[in-house]
Amino acid sequence: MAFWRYAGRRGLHTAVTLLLLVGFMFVLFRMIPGDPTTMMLGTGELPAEAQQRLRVLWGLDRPLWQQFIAYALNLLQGNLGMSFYFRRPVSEVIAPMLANTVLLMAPVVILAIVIGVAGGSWLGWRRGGRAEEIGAVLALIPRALPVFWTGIVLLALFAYQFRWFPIGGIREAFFFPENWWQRLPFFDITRHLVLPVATGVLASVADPLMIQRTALLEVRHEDFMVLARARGLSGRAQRRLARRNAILPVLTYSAIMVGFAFGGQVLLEVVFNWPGIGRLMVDSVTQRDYPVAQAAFLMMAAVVVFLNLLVDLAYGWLDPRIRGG
Amino acid sequence: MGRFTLQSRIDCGDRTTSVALLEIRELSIRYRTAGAGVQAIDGVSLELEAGGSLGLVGESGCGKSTLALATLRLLPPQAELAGTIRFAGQDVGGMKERQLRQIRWRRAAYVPQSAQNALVPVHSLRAQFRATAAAHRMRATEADRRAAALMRRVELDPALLERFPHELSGGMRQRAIIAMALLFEPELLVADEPTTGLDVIVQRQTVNLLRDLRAERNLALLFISHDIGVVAELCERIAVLYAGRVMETGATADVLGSPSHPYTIGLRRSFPDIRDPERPAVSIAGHPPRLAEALAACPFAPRCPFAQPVCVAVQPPLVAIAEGHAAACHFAGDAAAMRSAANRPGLWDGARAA
Ligand SMILES: Nc1ncnc2c1ncn2[C@@H]1O[C@H](COP(=O)(O)OP(=O)(O)O)[C@@H](O)[C@H]1O
Ligand code: SF4
Ligand SMILES: [Mg+2]
Repeated sequence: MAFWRYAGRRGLHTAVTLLLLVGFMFVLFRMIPGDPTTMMLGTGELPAEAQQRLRVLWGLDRPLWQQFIAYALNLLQGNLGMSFYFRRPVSEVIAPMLANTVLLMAPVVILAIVIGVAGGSWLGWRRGGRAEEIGAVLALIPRALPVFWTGIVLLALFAYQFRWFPIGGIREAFFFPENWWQRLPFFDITRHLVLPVATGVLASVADPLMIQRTALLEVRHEDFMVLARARGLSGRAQRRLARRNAILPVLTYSAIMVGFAFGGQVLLEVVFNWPGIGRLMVDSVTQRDYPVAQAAFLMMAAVVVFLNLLVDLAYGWLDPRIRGG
Repeated sequence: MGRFTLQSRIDCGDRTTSVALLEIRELSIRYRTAGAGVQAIDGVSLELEAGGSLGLVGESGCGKSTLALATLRLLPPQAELAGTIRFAGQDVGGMKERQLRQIRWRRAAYVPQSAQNALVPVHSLRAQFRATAAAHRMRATEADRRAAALMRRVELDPALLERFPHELSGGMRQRAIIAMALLFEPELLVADEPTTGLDVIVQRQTVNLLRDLRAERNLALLFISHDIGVVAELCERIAVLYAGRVMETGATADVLGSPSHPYTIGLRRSFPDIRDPERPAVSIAGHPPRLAEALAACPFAPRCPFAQPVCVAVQPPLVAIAEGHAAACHFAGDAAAMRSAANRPGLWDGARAA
C-alpha cells in the first residue's frame, strides 16, 4: 500500500520532469541561429518569398508558446517531424535505432550492476585479504582506460587476431548458419553483442563494485549483523543479509550510472559501428539533420528519466524506509 | 526445579561437581588496533548459575559489552581471547561456528545495547522471526504461532509483526527483540544495557518485563547496565567492572548494602537512591581510563579519593571480605571507614591523594 502511494508520487515526478525536459529541448533548439527554413537548405539560398511561405506553412510565424503547444501535441502522437536527410518521418528513423541502443545498453548496465554487486560483496566479505587487493585493482584498471581504447584492444584481439567475433555492426547482411547452434534465434545478434557489451561492462563495473564493497564493509559492523550472528544465522544467511542491506547505495548510484552510460554508449556505438541512437545523434549533428538530432537528444534524455524512475521504484521496493517520506 | 537437560549434560561430562550455566575463568580480551591494542577485559572470572541473575555494572568503556559479546563468541575478528568461557560445561572458546550455532539463540539469547539498529531495517518483524526460526530448522508456521504468542507476552499487538523496524518506537523494538529472544525458550539471556536510551516509563516496563519473564521461565540473566539501581532491582548478584577488571563482586544486598570498593561506593552515590531520595546524586569526577594506555596498578587510583602510594605500585587482588563478597582494593578491610567518609561533601569532585 505504502509502496503504491510512493510509486504514484514517483510517477508524477517523472511526468513533470519529462515535461520540463521537452520544454528545455524545444527552447535549446530554437536558440540555434536560423530556423528550419534556412537550415533545411543549409545556407539559406531559398528565395525570401518561398522562405516566408514555408514559415507560414510550418507555423513558424506564430508566437513561441503556440509553437510549443503544437510541438508537444505532435510529440504525444509520436509525430516528431520529418528528417531532412532521410526524407522520412523522424519516428521511423529513430525507432529501430532506439531499440538497438537499448539492446546494447541494457545488458551493459545490468551485467555491470550484477557483476559489481556480486564481486563487491565477495571482496567486502574478504576484507583485508590478498584476494581483495588484487580484485580491487583488477576492477579499477579498465575503468581508468578510455572506452574506445578498450574497445579497439578487444577488437584487435578477439575479432582480428582470433576471429571469434565480428568486427562490428549488429548483424551480418548474409548470414549462413553452418550448424544447429548457429541456427538458434538471435545467434547472429548475440555474437555481435559480445565485444561491445564486454567493453561497456569493463568500463563501468568498477564503480558499482567498489560502492558495494564499501557498503558491505559498513553493513558488516551494523548492530543487526551482530544480532544476526547471535540469532544463529548460518554464514550463508549472514552474507545474504549483508548483501541485501548493502545494495541500496549501489542502487542510488545506478541511476547516475545510467546517465553516464549514455556518454560511453556513443563511443561504443562509434567504435563497434553499432546502428544505435548514439551514432545517429553524432551523424545527425554533422549532417545538420536537426529534427533527428532533437529527437535523438530527447529520446536519450527520456530513457535516462525512465531508468531513474525504475531505480526509484526498485529502491522503494527494497527499502521500506523510503516509502514513507 | 531447573533444567533436566542441563542435569543430564553434567552427568555425562567429565566434571562431577555442580557446573554453573555460565562460567568465565581468567578471561582477558584484547582488541588489536593500529596502535598498541586495547585491553578491554583483563583477568575476569565470573559465574552464573542456571536460573540465576548476574548484573554487570560500570561506566561506559569499562568492557561490559565486550564481555557480553564474548559469552556467545560474537566479538569482531580483531578481538583476541585468553582464558576460558564455559556454557553448561562446554568450552565456548574452542567451539566451531557450527557448534556455536547450536547454542546461540537456542540456549543463549542476546539483547543488544542498541535496539535502535539491531533489527534488520529492510525486513518485517515476521520475516525476522521466521529467519531466526529457519536458522534452527523450525518451520515457518510454528515460528508464526510462537511469534504471535510471544508478542502478546511482551504486550505488543501481534499485528505489529507485519511492520518494519522503523515503524516502531524504541521501546517497541526493544520488546520485539525480547520476544524474539524467547523463541526457543533459552536458558540464558544476555541483555546489554536494554534500558539505556529509553525514557523512564519504558525503562520501568522493560525491567518489570524482564523480571517477570525470569520468574516464569527460569531464565538465567546476565544483565548489563551502567545504572546500578536498575541492576539492583533485577539481579541477585552483582559484579562491578572498571577498566576491564572486576572491582567488587557479591550478592546484590552485600555489594550495595556494604560496598567495599571506593568505585562501588562512588558509583552508588552517583545514582539516586530509592530508599533515600533526599540524598543528592554525586558523580565521580573524571573518566574511566582509556584502555589503550598502560594503567596504574589499581586502575581506579587516578580518581580514587582514598588512594595511597601503594595503590599505584601494587595491583590490589580481588580478595574475599565475607562469604561470597570480594573486592579488589588494598583497603577493603577498612570499607566501613571509607563508607562513612564518602558522605563528606566535595570528596568526589576531583579529589586525589597519593
Ligand atoms: N572493535 C573494537 N576495536 C577496538 N577497541 C574496541 C572495540 N570495541 C570496543 N573497544 C574498546 O574496548 C573498550 C571496552 O568497550 P565496551 O566493551 O564497549 O565497553 P562498555 O560496554 O562498558 O561501554 C573501550 O575502550 C572501547 O573503546
Ligand atoms: S586500591 Fe587504592 S586506589 Fe584502588 S580503589 Fe583501593 S584505595 Fe582506591
Ligand atoms: Mg556497552
